[in-house]
Amino acid sequence: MSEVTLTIDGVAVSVEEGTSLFDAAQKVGAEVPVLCHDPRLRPVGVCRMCVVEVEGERTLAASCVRTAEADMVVHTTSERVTHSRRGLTQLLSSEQPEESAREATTGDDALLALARELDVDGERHPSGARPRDDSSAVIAVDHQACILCDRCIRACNEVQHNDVLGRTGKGFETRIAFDFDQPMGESTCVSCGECAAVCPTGALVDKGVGEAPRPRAELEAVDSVCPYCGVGCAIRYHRDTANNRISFAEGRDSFASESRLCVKGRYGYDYATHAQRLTKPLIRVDYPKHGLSSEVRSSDRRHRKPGGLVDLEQVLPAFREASWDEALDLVAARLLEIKSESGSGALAGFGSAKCSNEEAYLFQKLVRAVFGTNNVDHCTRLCHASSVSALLQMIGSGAVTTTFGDIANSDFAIVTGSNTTANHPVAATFFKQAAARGAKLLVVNPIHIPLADHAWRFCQIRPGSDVAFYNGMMHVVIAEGLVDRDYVEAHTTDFERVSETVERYTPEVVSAICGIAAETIREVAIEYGRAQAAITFWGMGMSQHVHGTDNCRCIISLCLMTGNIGRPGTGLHPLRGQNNVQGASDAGLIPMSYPDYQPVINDDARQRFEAAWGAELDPATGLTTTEIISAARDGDIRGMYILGENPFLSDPNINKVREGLGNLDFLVVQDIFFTETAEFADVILPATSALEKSGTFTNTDRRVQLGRPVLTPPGEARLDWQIICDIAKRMGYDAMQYESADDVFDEFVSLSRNYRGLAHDKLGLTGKLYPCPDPDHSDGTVVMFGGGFPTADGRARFVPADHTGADELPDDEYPLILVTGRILEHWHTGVMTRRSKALSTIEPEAFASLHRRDAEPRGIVSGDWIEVRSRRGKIRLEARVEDRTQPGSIFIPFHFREAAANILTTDKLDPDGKIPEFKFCAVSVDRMSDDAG
Amino acid sequence: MTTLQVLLELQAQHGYLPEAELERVCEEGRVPRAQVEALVSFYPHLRRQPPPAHRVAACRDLACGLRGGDAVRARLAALCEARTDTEYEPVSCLGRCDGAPACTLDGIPMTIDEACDRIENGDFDSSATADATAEEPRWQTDPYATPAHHYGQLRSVLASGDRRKAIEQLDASGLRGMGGAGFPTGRKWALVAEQPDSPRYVICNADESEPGTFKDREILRSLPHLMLEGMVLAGHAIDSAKGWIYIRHEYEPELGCLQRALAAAREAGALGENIFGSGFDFDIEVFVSPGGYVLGEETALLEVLEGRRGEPRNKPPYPGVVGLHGKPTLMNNVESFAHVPRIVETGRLDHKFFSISGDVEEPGVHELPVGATFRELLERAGGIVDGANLLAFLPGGASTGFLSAEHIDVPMTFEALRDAGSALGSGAVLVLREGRDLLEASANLTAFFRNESCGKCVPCRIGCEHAVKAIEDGRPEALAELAPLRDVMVDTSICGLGQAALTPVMSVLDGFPEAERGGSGARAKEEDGGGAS
Repeated sequence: MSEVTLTIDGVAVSVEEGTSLFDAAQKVGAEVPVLCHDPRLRPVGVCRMCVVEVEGERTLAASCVRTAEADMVVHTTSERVTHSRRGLTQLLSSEQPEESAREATTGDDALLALARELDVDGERHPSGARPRDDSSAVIAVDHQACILCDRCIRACNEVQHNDVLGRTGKGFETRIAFDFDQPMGESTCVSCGECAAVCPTGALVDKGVGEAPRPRAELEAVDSVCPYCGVGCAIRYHRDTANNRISFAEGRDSFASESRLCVKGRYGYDYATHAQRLTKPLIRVDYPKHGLSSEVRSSDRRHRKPGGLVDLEQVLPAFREASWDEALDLVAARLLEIKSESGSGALAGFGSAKCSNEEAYLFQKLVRAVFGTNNVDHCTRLCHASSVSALLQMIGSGAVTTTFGDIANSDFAIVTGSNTTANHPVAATFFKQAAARGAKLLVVNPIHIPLADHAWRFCQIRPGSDVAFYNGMMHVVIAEGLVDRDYVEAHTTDFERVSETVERYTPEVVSAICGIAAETIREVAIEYGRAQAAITFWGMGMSQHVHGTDNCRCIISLCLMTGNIGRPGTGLHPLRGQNNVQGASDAGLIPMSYPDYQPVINDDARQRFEAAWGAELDPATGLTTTEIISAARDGDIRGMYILGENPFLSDPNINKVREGLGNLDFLVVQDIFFTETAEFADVILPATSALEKSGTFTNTDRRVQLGRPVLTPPGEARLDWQIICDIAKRMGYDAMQYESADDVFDEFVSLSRNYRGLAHDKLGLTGKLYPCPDPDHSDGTVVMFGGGFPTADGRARFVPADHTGADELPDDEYPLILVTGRILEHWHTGVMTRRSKALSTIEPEAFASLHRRDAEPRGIVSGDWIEVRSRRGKIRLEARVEDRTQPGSIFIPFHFREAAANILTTDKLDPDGKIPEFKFCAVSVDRMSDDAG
Repeated sequence: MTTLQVLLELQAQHGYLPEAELERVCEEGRVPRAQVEALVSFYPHLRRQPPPAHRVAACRDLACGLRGGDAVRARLAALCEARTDTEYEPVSCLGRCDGAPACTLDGIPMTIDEACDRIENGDFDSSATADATAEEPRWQTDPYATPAHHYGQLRSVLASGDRRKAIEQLDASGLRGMGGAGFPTGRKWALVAEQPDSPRYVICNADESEPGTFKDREILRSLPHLMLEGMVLAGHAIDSAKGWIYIRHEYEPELGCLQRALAAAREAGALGENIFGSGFDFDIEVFVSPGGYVLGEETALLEVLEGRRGEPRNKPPYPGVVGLHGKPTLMNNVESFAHVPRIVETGRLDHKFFSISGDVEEPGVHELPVGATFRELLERAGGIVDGANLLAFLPGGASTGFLSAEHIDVPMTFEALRDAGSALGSGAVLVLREGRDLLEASANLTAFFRNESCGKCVPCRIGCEHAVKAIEDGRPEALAELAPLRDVMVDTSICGLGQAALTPVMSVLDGFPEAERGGSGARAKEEDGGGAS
């Protein structure tokens, strides 16, 4: 790229060809004021505030949209320029309302600041009254304060790609509008808040969660990581220190999230200061044990009030408050007692993917070194266990091979079994951006998810037909000669096994199974095969099946045979659900391996960890999540330590979970709220939220980021890592004493090749992408496996899979397929999000989404109460007739305790990943009579 | 097809845009609702409510106002009001200033008086006003004696295969853009011809909409073959195969003339594939504007063709380099193209078209030798009404400054008018006799720009509104705000609309001492339907 040299304010400056005058001016230190321009947005040049004088030109030039040319002589502060800036500021100011909502809240109204700087008369005489719009749960709209800078429009349409905002009207009457000029709260807005984040005036302002945001200057900024999903957005919390409250949050720049946030991250932080936080250790006094709240005792009643929070009056009488010493002593004594009576195998622990790497590391160390068992697992079992199992088997590594942001380098992307806009909203913005750029986005999903509207092709396959679909694609790729022979030859083995299998899967055969036209299967396969760089993302729609591992094997095979791995814009990316599901697995919070995926059945590994931890370790693989619950039912597991997980709602077939939890001789639950699971506890320990502690979290990309404490923990709540260590110590184990979370991290890193080189003080503000052996000079590794795989022979291995179908097919009695999943506003079992004012206001209630062709024959319309039954139980909830599911299937999110979807689900497991089939079971649906419930 | 075209087709089909259809457009086309809202709310031609049986659109601008428009418009409004099936709408200049005060009834242009009579008589028969022109004028610009001779220049240029000749002849003639900006036409053609990118496009801008401007309308009606020949010659010169004519929707009768001319050209082999057996292909598509003066701005026009809100682009780049769909695009106005055939023959521009209206006996379109003075033009138009004296005139449309009577002998050329302190602009001459109130007239013109501002950039969107208010206010301190505001608008507006909006009013304030501004000092009243209130 060549350079041009020009003169700005008398200073000669050379810039790359194509540089705007605005950027060039910054290079010489000239401060050009601007209202409509933002470095993250496409420049539009509508506010004209950034005009500069170019010698020899008739009019001034808006510097944000004007390209620097050789020999230009530019003045940024000439009299003409200053006159225009002041004039424009005056024009804008005079139309402003008396009070700026932005100045009154965050105190950073850019127009007011400019008016002050230019000393422009701030007199207000707006021409006509423009309306306010208070309909959104999170954002206040004041059209009078809008200067039509279009920042919000570009943020909505070109950053978040939600396409809700636009201009309406013409001339002086122009306004911004949501959809067909509807009130914001009634539009398709998803409340990501990007518009309010970029608005320079009081037109779009965060209402604040609970109370209005306060001026930045009065708050302390803490740079941390969002506590929700695996995207791991970089976030800045503005803390009201005196009141121990977060006043507001905003995105900050990072490689992963580029300052973007979603509704949960931006507005869902107030759970941490909810009145129901546990603040004192509790010891159970009410025996025999049973569920306490009406929802936990039975979920088939029609619930009475929205919000779905536990009624503490129903549950607290079963407990008494205790001191930490008493509670911890009791925990240690009871666990030791069971260990001595029934052996280590009678104990088990559930850690959590919401906890930090440090906590995960310590928890599994406690279970392995102190309990003496490998019966330790966490919710990864319920999300990507099958993905990891297929990845380990075929390419020797369970982590993603590239980042989600690498889609920027792809010309083809498959997003399959992932409702990305709901579950990884910020990652979805990058997918939509790629589609807008022209990359071919193939969305495969049995449900018409919002991302499908951005797709090049959307294949709405029948639930459970994934193996057939991808075998069909492979069949076409092979038949059309689109196999990357060189790659297959150089880097893989067993290609023939897959090619033999998929030979039977002609597009016609596959079409009959998955309901997609044979021609479409051909078309998408050919385009995929021809792509220069194709990337593949998948979510739980792939993994949560009894054939989940087979599903993943198929997409891995497809990717391998076309050589779409190991180069920029290619690769395999299972989108990790929780903020630290990657890290928790890395840290060994799984029954089959120590930290760094070193198999517990490998003697060398075991001896290394025995040496490191100074304890004898169990040589046998432990039980997985669902197996532990079954073992509890059977009485084989007698004592459990559950940290931050809520299996009562998250595990399949809740009636079985209820029996399992109820059958435990001793259960200690460590959590921040009184969860459904805690109702079965003997001891409840008040823990700290992610917002109250320091620790690292590894996002879906493998990016290790440092979360920093924002709030002081309430009452007597303690740091989780300290509680784990306290229990270890009281159980007689001395090798778990640390000064800080940093020390814990250092010990974990010393036992992990992947994390080598990392330390808290090396992570900076945006973390590091492991492997990153030289964090001082590198951000880490984006693309893995360019030169082979971490397998014995360095090659990836093809593993074929045949279409087998779901475990429980619909029949006359249970004619519909139930697909469970998540929604944008809620998080897993709702423990956090239903205690967030904004999120629970937007989505207060349980619902089931139906297709009109299933609703009509049953006389169901949106808003009706329906009863959904499976062979395992029934729930009652509200119907939404949305036509998003296919006829013959319904969708129910599992966040809602008052209508827990997992009452219905089957606990049949994938044989390899041991993941339950959350995405498929047979149910019946009936409209409830009006007087029922 | 762009979303805008889909909407225009739906509008044509239903007469309006039913809500269910809009939802369908969004759903099936995966078009964001906000995008449809942005279009539907921007274009006056698009409507969401079913139209009544009859619709009247009456001009509220200066040329009609000078012919008693305000009073008859009030009568027309009252007549419509009294009926349940007739909608009345005040609109910007319809380009029928020679039939002022003008309106359209169910799309058919007529005087407001005639419309009133017809509504009173319940006579809505649209066939009654079919093209009833008695005698066709003979224009000097047309080199062809009979239709059989049409496209002779094109034939000879194609036969010679010389792609440079037209550009050279245009350069020699000194022809400058007749739409208002006056950019040398030969240079424009040469610039597009030398762009490395392709394909290239030719666009004829037939969207003249500035108050008092209707000369292109006459060319579209009586000389469309010259304009078409100019376009094909342009296509040949810049190596383009595709052209568009962008015509304002109010020119429905002229659109018919144009369509007939297009058919005749195709028939004659002057348009389409292998023109006159030369191997050169060029075809033309007609795009009817969804309405709005600003769409005549060249980059706004491109935005419309690309299916967006017609908001002007930031320039540079200019359309000749980055035009339609990012490709080099040659855009000229109707008259510019119409002059091309004779210029290709002679290398000279001998005549120029003017539309003259306001206080003259015979408003209309006149063709004068280049260099003729305003006095000559005025004489062609029968002089001032009732033999009154001249107060002032706008020589080039609403974007130019008023000249006082002392300039009556100014030659109507770019240079002479610039030297006199105004501009040739669009060749639309508006004449005001003694007794008129210049400030009131300029208030009307300022209101026109306010009404037609697209709202994209701050200086124009808010500046026009504030200017209208200041003129209405009329106090010296209010009027004193206009000069600094004008400087801001000239220097920072994205397009010519905002840059020129205050030109007429400032020409009055700066160029006419208070005593010579005429009128009783009464200020212009806020026009009904005149935009914001």
